[in-house]
Amino acid sequence: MPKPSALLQGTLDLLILQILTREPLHGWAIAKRIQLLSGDVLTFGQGSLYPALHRLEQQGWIDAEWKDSELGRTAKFYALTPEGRKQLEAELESWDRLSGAVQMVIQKA
Amino acid sequence: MRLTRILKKRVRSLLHWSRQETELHDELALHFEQLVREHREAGLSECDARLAAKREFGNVPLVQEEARQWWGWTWLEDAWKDLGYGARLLWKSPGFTIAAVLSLGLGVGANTAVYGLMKQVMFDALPVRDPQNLVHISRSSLEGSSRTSFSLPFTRDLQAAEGIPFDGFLATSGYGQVSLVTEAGAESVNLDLVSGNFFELLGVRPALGRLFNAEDDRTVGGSPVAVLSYAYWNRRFGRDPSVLNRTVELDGRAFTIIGVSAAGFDGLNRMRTPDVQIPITMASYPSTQILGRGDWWLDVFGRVKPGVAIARAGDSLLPLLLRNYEIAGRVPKTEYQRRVRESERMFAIPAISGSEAPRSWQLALNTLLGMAVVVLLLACVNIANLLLSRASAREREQSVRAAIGASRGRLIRQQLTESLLLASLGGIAGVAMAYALSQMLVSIMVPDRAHSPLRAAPDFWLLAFNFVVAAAAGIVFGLAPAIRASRPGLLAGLKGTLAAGIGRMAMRKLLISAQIAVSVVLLMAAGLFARTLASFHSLDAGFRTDRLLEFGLDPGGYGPDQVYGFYQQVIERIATVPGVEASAVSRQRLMGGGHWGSGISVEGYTVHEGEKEPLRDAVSAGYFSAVGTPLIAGREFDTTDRTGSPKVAIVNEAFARYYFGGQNPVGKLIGEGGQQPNIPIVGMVRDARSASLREAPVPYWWIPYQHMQRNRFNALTLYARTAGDPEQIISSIREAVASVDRHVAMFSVRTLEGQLNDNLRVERALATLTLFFAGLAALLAAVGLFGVLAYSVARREREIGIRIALGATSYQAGWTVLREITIYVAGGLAAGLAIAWQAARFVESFLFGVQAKDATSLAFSCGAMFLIALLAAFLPARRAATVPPAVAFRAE
Repeated sequence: MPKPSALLQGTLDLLILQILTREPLHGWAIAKRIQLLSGDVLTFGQGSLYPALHRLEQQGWIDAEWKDSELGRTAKFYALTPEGRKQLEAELESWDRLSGAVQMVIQKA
Repeated sequence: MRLTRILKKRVRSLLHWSRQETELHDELALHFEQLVREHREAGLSECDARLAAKREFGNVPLVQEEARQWWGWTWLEDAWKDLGYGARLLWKSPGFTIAAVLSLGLGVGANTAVYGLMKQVMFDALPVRDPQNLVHISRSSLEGSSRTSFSLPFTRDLQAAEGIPFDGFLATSGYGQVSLVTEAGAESVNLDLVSGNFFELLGVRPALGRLFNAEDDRTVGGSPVAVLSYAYWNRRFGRDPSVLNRTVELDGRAFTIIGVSAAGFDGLNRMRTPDVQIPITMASYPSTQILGRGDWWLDVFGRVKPGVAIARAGDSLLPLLLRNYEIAGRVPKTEYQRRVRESERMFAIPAISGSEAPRSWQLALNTLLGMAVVVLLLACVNIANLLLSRASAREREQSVRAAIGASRGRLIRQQLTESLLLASLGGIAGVAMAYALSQMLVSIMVPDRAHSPLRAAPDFWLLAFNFVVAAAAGIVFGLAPAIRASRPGLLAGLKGTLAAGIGRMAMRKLLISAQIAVSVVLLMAAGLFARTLASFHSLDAGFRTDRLLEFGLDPGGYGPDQVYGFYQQVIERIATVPGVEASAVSRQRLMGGGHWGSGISVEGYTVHEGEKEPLRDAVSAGYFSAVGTPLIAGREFDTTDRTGSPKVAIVNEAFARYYFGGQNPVGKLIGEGGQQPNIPIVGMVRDARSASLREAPVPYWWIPYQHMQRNRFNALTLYARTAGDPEQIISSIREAVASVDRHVAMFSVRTLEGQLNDNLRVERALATLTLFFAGLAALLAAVGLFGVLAYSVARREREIGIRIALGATSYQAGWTVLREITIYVAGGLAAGLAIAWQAARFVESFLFGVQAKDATSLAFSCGAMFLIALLAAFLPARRAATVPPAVAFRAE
């Protein structure tokens, strides 16, 4: 089983926020979406998604609501808050800087 | 915005903890079921699908734990667990818990009680507008400091002055007790005189009707209006609004009640509260005195402008004082007078809590607070000691916790939670203790509860203070043991070796030494105060204090010509009351603390300027035999001394010694200061302590009260010497007074013994509380000593058993244990002695009839502490002496 740390520290938050920009989703859908969009490259202990969701919720970047889901029962849907959107922008920017820098080192070394 | 959202979430997660718990569970279950379904659809069996899902999802409880952590309340959960654990531990060792909670409660409660009184007397702001700007005006010169009396014209000068950093001045004067007569009868009330702007400048509103204004003190005798204090209105009239515009007789004159001052306002003096206030111009003094520039009788308070440094504000008033002397025509004529004038200074004393408390109170309260703090520290030391020994016992538990991964911080936190729990229990015990103790303090120190604003019940801030002190104590005594316990040698702890305990023992024994030393110091203080009290009680006052009743009368409505007749009638009527042996009057109340001095001229003696004046009094015929002061030579005043008879005087031995070199003074002439000596001395009496027991007899002279300068003083004190208990015939005396004039109330009715006890209130409070604190300290030291020895015996049981088996006698066995502590006890005693010897001078000002370095008190304190230590050591030593030798051979 790949450890959660296989995912770069902090990137899980970024992925969750990014995925939630389009629509509110529940945990299962978020996990599926990450798996799908990354072409099954990004895998992680799916359980570790939840502490991250709860952290983001407590920090006020996402909101949660129980709604009927396509799974046939109610599920907890997470949605981005305005503050979360700003946070996402900030994180995207720092991600760009980081990946750009790594890219540069790799090319020039 | 985000912050409020976060806050809301946190609060919600706290309030709906269990719902959130189920939600988390549902959420994870949903995800898990989806995983299982997916695998099943991929063709796995139910069982395999579940296993695969588990692999993919990870550790469910761990995920829950991590998610919960973000709800932000895990620390609370931990604290709750620690609290439960701590409570269980305390519950399981009731002996330890009771000892710790009680000693902490006593320590905290003592502090709360003493500080509570101190706060009321010295710190609490008056319930007036901007009390921080309020100042009490005083002056000083080389003739005396802190004089707070001023004349009405000078007060008006101040009020009219411009260019000084003050927003205004008010004047007030305690008038004392007078009779208030309504249809229901006469009763005595506390009367204050206040300036017209008094309430307005203070910002005190009426609770009913109106208060005084500037018009009310414009003319002497012009505004017969009175304001009641809220407390009096409540106590006497049950807050009946119909008192408004009612006319009552006050001090013999009719006044109309125009209002009631705001609830909670008790005047500017924390020592006594007025029942009724009237304008200063309504005082029953002659108008020449009320308006006299030379008559200093008003307390003046000012309001400094905001932002002005109070310390410098008084300086700006000096020119006004000097101008006042000029207007009054008081030009210094001699070198001495010039020096006095040059030394004049004016001061503005912060009066945020009213006029300053008497020095004896401040000193006593400071001393008591110091002791309470010491007792609290001792209690802390003891609890730390108890916790340390418990920590040794729990070393194993701590090692196990550390071994399975508890961090050091977490261990400390758990121990601190325990001590804070203990502290809270101690705080609760402290509140109960504080309540009882302040009841005791107030009832010992305040003679007249009805006229005192001091309350025994703690207010909110005091309760907060109580718990903050308890919590601080909890941290102080809890931290050291907690830190120690958090770093056990892992292995040693697990093996159960007690080697680590050795160094700790030395520390605990040193703490015992400190406790013993402090106890010795407190016991010494208790001894000194007890001896002071005893020497007051055994003191010969110079008159007979038993079976003597004294009370005040103030026939305010009487003119100067009728007042003597009134008193003569009262004296005669009282003398006929069955059980009364003699009666007399005087102007100065015996043991009343007041002084009356005026200049003196003596035949054949040149009185120097600035020389201390003798004290004087005016008394009736038979006064000296009534109060029991022996006549040494000549005669005392009798019925031949009356209005219009030749002037005569009586002096005391000190007077004769000072002015006549000890010669028989009878026949010599004396007179008022600045006048010809023209009054022949007709008698000499024994020296007496008339004003207070503290004051050694000084030169004193008396004249018949009928010869007193007329129209000045109507209020006199009456004495009745009784055959039996004076309390029994008070009502008969009351009837006798009422039969002369039922509109004159008796006030301050006391037996002289009661009055003496009143005067010794501060001394008694000090002696009682110091003894209490010292006893507490000694008890705490004894408990500590007992604990250390008992622990030591338990630890060394096997060794002692071997000694006994090898032939040691039981004495030797007992001594083995005692020996290790003897040096610490002796050291503590010696240190206590040394400190007490040096520190005794700090309480010198309270002492009377005993030296600060008093060997008896010192011997008492050491002896008492030694005995207590011996008692505490006895039980463990006896246990050591009776260890059965078989113990030595029993395997561990």
